[in-house]
Amino acid sequence: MIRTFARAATFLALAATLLAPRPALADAYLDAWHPYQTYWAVGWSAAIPTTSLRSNFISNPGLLGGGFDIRIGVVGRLAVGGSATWNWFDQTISSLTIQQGQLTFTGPVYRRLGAFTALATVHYYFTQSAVQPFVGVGLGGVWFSTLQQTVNRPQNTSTSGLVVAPEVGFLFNVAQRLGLYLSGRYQFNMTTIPGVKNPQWASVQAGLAYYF
Amino acid sequence: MVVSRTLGWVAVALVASGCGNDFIPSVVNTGTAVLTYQAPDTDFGAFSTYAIVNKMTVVNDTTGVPVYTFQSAPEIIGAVERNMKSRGFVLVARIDPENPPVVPIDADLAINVSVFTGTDYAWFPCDYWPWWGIPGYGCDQPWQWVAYRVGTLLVEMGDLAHPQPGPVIPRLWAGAGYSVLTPENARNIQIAVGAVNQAFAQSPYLVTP
Repeated sequence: MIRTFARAATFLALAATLLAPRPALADAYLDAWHPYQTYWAVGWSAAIPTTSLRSNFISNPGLLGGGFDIRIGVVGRLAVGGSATWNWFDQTISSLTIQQGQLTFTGPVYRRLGAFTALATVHYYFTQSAVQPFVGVGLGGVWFSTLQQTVNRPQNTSTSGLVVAPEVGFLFNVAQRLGLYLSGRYQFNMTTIPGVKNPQWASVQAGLAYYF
Repeated sequence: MVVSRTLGWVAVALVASGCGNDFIPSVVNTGTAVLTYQAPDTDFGAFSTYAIVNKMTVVNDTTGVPVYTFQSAPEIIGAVERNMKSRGFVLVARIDPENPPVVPIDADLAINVSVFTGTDYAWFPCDYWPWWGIPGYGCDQPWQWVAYRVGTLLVEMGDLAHPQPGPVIPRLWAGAGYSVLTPENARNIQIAVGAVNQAFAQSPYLVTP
């Protein structure tokens, strides 16, 4: 008899465990259960120069880059946070003519641009589904360092400015509190580097996000 | 646990992103390049004749003590003369640097051709044309090139038409060809002639009616 009760209790406990309401295995970020959830992400960033940055300084895409994001839900599916991104571009031009004052140079030129961007961000997630499309915008600052080398003559500059960076993307919820993100961002930098006013680029971000 | 793992990934990503490519391709450091200098406010249309040193000065500084020799370089000096002729300038004298004239030459412009090899800097000139067959030592700004093994060719043009007080001749124009020496010596002349042609090509103001 005792054994029968014990078996029944075990069965009931198991059933309660299995049938009790609980979040799905791959919960969406900012789902109904976690409206103030935090979001931590790290990933890769690749950028393609546009406008005068492309025509006057570097046309090669910058495949080396990365960054991280932190967000927190504030209301509904709206999150605010911060983002830090680093992008790197470089290019060797086999022959270029450069005029500088009384000097004219023609020959191979190496150019490099490094950009560190820090943004305050706002993002809105359209759904609470397994795949969450989102839009966002970031406002903040950027710090640039450039190098132009002709023969053995390096010319380094550094500058900083304000940034506006709208973004669209998808968050794929793949496991408990874990997602993969893919987004596109357009970065408009309000500063000047040699030969380029307001350098701009489009970038792709991809990486891993953890929310709790 | 998961948080620390995430932070670990963040750290890895930051370290990885910090490993920028600091490599300058060798083609930039040792590839052929041409630099020209034009003295401010110079109207080359005001000049019509020139004299040129008939040998190239070779400055070998591989031992730390510059050694000057003169070498016949008909292709390179011929390239300078061809370009000057095509720009309207008239050659009036060829000067032997081993027996330079003791009296002033009746020409508007004076031209030297030199090549530097060694481990020292080849200072790009911007001050004064020196004297027949003697390479100039100009200022070190805003440009300086390492000559070392790749060699720097220098074509200097001085103003004989407007004598200055003292032994100074203003330098009006200079063209430098960097990396004119190659391991394949047969190509050196071809590269040097190409550098001379490029120096004139990027100096369209160097013309007289």
